[in-house]
Amino acid sequence: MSLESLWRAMLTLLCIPLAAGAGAPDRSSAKSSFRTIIAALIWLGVTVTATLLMVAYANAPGQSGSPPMIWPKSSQVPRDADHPTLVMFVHPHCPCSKASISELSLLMTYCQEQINAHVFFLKPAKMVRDWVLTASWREAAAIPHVTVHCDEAGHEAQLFHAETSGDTVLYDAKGNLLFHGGITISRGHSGDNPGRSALQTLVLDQSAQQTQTPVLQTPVFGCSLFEAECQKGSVKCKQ
Amino acid sequence: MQTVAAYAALNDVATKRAAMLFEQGQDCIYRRTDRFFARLMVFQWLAGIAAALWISPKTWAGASSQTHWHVWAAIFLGGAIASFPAFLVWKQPGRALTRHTIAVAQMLASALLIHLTGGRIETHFHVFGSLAFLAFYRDWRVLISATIIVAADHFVRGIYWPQSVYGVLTVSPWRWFEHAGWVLFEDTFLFISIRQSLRDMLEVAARRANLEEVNADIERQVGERTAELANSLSVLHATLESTADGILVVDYQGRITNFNRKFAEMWRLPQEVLASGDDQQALMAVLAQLKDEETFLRKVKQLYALPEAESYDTVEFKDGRVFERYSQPQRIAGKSAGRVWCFRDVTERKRAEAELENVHKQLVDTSRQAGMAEVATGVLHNVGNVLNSVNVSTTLVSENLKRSKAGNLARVAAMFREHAADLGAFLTADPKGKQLPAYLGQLADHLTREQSALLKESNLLKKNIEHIKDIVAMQQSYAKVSGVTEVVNVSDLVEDSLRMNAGALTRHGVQVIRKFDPHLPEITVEKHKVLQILVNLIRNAKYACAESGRTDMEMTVRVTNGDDRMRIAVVDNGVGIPAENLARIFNHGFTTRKDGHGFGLHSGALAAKEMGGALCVHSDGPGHGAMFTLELPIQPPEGRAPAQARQSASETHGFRQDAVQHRA
Repeated sequence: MSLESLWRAMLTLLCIPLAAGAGAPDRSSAKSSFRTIIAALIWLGVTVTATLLMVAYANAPGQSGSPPMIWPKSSQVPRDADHPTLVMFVHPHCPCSKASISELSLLMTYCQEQINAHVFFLKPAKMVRDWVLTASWREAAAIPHVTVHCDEAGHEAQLFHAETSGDTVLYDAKGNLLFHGGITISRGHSGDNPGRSALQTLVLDQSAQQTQTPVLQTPVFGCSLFEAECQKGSVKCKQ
Repeated sequence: MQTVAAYAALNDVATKRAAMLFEQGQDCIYRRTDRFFARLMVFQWLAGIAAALWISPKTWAGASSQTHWHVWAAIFLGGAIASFPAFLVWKQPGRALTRHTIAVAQMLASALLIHLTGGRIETHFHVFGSLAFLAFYRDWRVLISATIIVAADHFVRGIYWPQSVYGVLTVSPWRWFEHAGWVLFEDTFLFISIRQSLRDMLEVAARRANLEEVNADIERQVGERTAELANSLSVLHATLESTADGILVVDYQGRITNFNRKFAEMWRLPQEVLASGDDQQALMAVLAQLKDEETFLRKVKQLYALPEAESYDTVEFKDGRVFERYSQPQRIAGKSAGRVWCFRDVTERKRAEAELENVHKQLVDTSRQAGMAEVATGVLHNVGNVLNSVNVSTTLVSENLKRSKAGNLARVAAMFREHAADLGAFLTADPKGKQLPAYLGQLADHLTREQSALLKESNLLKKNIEHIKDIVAMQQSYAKVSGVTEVVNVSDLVEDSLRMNAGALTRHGVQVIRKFDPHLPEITVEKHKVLQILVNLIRNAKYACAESGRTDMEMTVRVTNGDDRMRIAVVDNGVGIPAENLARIFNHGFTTRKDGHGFGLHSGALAAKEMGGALCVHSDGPGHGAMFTLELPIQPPEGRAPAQARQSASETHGFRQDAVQHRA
């Protein structure tokens, strides 16, 4: 069967007239139908392509940081000596990070009292404190066993080398890095994801913490925590 | 099977009509659903933009922000998804490509909305809701298009971004089929629903086609009945308006339901009274015109109280007009629904009737007088004819008496007295005396002959006088039944007739020729009538001969017998009769003679008809003489009463025709 005949069969199946004799009254009508079909195909191509681009963007991860393998002593976060400590860095206005907080909430539900969690909301130096108090802040603060912090000028984020909103790190009770990355499957999309699953496993399974080498890493989907010139520990970011 | 059954009852025309109705119904649904989706597309586009602005208006980098990609995607991609289907709905509503495009666009819109809402499970219901919406088209193929888009989306994502759709990084290559399967699961129910809907539509189309056919038939019948009704109404209206009667129809609620102009004219009703349609008003308006209002009103009330009653009476007006009033119930389906009043202006008729009665009285008087005159004319004519013969006879008797030798007998007697003394010597010696015995013998002979002639004439005179008596008696019989018949010998009757005219015939030198059949039977007739006819015919023949100026005037009387009828023909070689006169020769008053009355042939023909016979005439024209034939039955017709005969005789016109035709 040739490609043309296949095409015609498909149109016939869908009852779409292609030429005179197939339902169209005359040649001009057939011509018009043909033009319409071509236009429809172009439209289909454009919209499908745009949709795919959109999907591709949604699945494009942000810049992944490289947190220290040992809990940084200069951090203001009190590390729990009995349980793993989770630290998440969030841009308070990043729409994608709502999904990260949502996933954190789910994780905390599964891992009640087995984990100590802290969420740092970035506060650029030039911004007032209220700038931080967003819906994401309130949602995070509402999660049991989660402590929210205002990360003044991104100090803590820089200590943990976090680059993208939603970046999450997990250290064991001894201060060894177990996991770092995102806990969503794509930008702003909630749902089962490898990051949350890994964290859940590491927290609930002590043996997994001990045998886990190397450190688990997942992509992070979210806004950049810092402006481009401030990234990588640039001095400018300490504004 | 329902559909098949519904269509099986249809004829070819209805089946085609049902198919057309079904297609029209489908097209209507397609267009309506197109419009619905066009609006939905616009709504979804705006909703997508709103969702993007609400959920992810900006993307951030530190303190810097810019419009989120989702916003642009919602505006431009959402706009692109919605605009082309909306354009097709505007330009090509109802077409297959339009709804397939809508199906594809709807699934793309689902993908966009799911994406804009952060992949929320709840937004995925948009896919299934959209499939249900697409089922509004009642075209299962549209669901196929939508399903293909869903399956393709999952297939492509499964390959390139499995975590974005399945939540895991690695997935079976057939996982997309599971998701598409759930869509197909819904499709299956929608297919069944669509199939049932299409069946219902077919059923409705078949019923509607059938109904239309029935309606068309009913409308045709209604049209025919309406035309017939219109025709009947026009005939009724024309009849109402063309009749000389005034007609009013009133129902039992006292409303005037119909009337004609004649009614309004006759009753001189004001237009406003008629326009009110109130019978009571009309009644009050006419009462003042009537002589007897109370009787009129009482009659009307009486009739309204008796719906089934019919009536007839007359209504008299103060101005002298008289109306006949007929009234009968108006029935609908056998039930009395009102009353029809019919008025006829009979004023002129009543007047004419009065005049007619007056004239009739006068006519009766005049007729009586005219009848008497006719009788007198008949008597005079017939008696006159006979009197001619009487006159001739008396003249002959007188002349014979003048020439009589009876005077000579007196002289002989004087001679005997003179010679009484010597009578012997005188007879023997005297020369005169010696001649006397011989003279006396001669005188005796002469007187004997003279006596014989006088006796003959006196007998003829006697017969004529008897004839006059008969004529008078016959004329009297017009006033009473007579019809006395006699058995007579026709030859004798003919001879009597000839004898009555013998003098005239002799004087005019008309030679009479007799041609009688040798064995003529006797006939039963009214003798005097036959005699009267024959005398007339012979007399007319004599006149015709005399007027011709011929020297060989002759009249032949021929008596023949055959077919139980006797025919007596009087043939002359006189002046003859023009053809134009033949047809009216028996008419009363028709005559060609200066001193004629036009009565003899007329009465003769009547008399012949009365006796069951006929009188006919034939002539080859002027100068060729004429033949009159009296035809008589040997026996008078059975059951022919004299009264009837008289009645027939009075029908003179019919008789003349018969007579002429018979002669021809």
